[in-house]
Amino acid sequence: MPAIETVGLRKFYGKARGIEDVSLTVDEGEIFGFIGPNGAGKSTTIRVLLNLIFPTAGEARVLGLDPVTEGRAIRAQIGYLPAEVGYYEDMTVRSLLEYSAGFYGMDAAATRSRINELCGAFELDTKRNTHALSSGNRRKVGIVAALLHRPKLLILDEPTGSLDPLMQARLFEVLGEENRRGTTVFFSSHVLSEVQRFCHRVAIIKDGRVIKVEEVSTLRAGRFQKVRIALTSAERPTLSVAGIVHQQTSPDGQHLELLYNGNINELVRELAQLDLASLSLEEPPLEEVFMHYYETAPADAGPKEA
Amino acid sequence: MNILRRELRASWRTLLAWSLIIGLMSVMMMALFPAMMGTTQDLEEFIKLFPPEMVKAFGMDRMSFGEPMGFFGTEVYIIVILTGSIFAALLGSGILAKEEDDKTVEFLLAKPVSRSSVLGQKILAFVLVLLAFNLVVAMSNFLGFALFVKEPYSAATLALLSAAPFFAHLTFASLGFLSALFWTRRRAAYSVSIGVAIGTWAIGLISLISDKLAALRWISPYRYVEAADIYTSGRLEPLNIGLLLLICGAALALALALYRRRDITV
Repeated sequence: MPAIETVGLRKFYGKARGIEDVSLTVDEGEIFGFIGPNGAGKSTTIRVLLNLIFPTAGEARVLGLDPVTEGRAIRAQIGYLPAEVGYYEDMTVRSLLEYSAGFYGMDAAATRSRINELCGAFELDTKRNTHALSSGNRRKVGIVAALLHRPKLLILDEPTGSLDPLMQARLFEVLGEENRRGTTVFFSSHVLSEVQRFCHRVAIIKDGRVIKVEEVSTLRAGRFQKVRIALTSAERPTLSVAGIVHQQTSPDGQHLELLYNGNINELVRELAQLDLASLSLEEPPLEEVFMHYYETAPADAGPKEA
Repeated sequence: MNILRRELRASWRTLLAWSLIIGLMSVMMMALFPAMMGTTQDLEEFIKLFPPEMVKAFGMDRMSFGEPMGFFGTEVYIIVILTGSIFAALLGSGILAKEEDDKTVEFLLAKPVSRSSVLGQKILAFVLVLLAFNLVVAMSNFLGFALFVKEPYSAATLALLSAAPFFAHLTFASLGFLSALFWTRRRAAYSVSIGVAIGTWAIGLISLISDKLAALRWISPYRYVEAADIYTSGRLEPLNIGLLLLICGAALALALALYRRRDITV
């Protein structure tokens, strides 16, 4: 039985699109990434799975159950982190977590030790008021609340947002541990690299449609790089190395911008022939990868050729 | 019962403030009664200066200032029922609107609890809070009488006059609760539900002042628990109370039906 299965899931708010056609299957025990630019429909999909909103059409099954009619049974086995977390203004971190644990029938001693364990891992001060927390700390409280009752399935909506790199690493450590214990992890992101690093498979959503579901090992074969090159003179070079997805040359011919998805050594060797003023490599925003790659490349060409 | 406990804890301070302030007002107003009684004659003259419609509107044609229960009915009762209704409107609308306003609704509805249970516990919470509020105010009413009224009075009538506002409060809380489904921002829900509590009061007054508008009388929940009626009949009219409870039931049933099929709005 898959942990999550949707077929042609669709949600419209009146005439406004939430999602158009989301079909995906998340297997039990998987770490599954759900990536797409902002507004693509990631949160809408997740909210349908939790029955926070009702689908317009299509089908969803979570742990084999229907979110609309069996939502309560589903939610008993799920840990959920909303994209934007709000808390009750009069509660401390500890009282909020205890309140959350109370819904799952956890006993007081187990709750206390689990809160201490998780808050220790995420360096959270449990005595702080939830309203006075920074956005990173608010997110951490949400993450702890989602993990607290050891759910079978974790659904995390942009879990790394506003976390510093150290905490992001800590988060994936903890998620990895939970996963080894058998927890299925489904999380959304708009950062390609974190999805590439931690997931087994990813679904890519754009404009309300899942356009591709891929094994990460396939994606990993190539690493997208945004390459900025400044030349000492207006050479307008023609680069022949394989893996250039998109190239843009400035009008003066001195500045080049590449979206590169190939062997970095080959690129460096090619660039060595040029007289460079500066060179920078950075991770491209996901939107750019989509724009120039998934839209222009035929679906099965993938980033395999790298 | 997790949510119920949480709501009771969250309302605790507001409840304490409102019930103590209104209770204190009841006691302090009764403290004025002995002084008022001495000047009854002047007062009756004074009242005659007002148009008879106005006198009727405030129930002063059927209750006398110079008599403790009449004083309570015309002066204290209005304060208790009206301020209490504002409290109830805030309570009923806020208890639901705050979840979407503070974006806690995603936290709450992701828990293994049905939406009916979420609403049921919230309803139970505001009913209990209103009961406690009216209990404190009722005790204050009796305290005021015990301290400042030397004349004989009917404790049974005072008990009825202390109990009656609860039903109006319950009605405004239920309507406020329903309104929070449509106005999901706290401030908007507050405005609407307080508007209802004060607006229907005004309509009730107008309906008494003008015979042409007498039919409007039935729109105002206050009219079903009017002090002068209880004072003269010595009882709560079961039909009136039944009607108020029916309005509550209808508002809450509608809220429940809508909430079960609703998309969260944050």
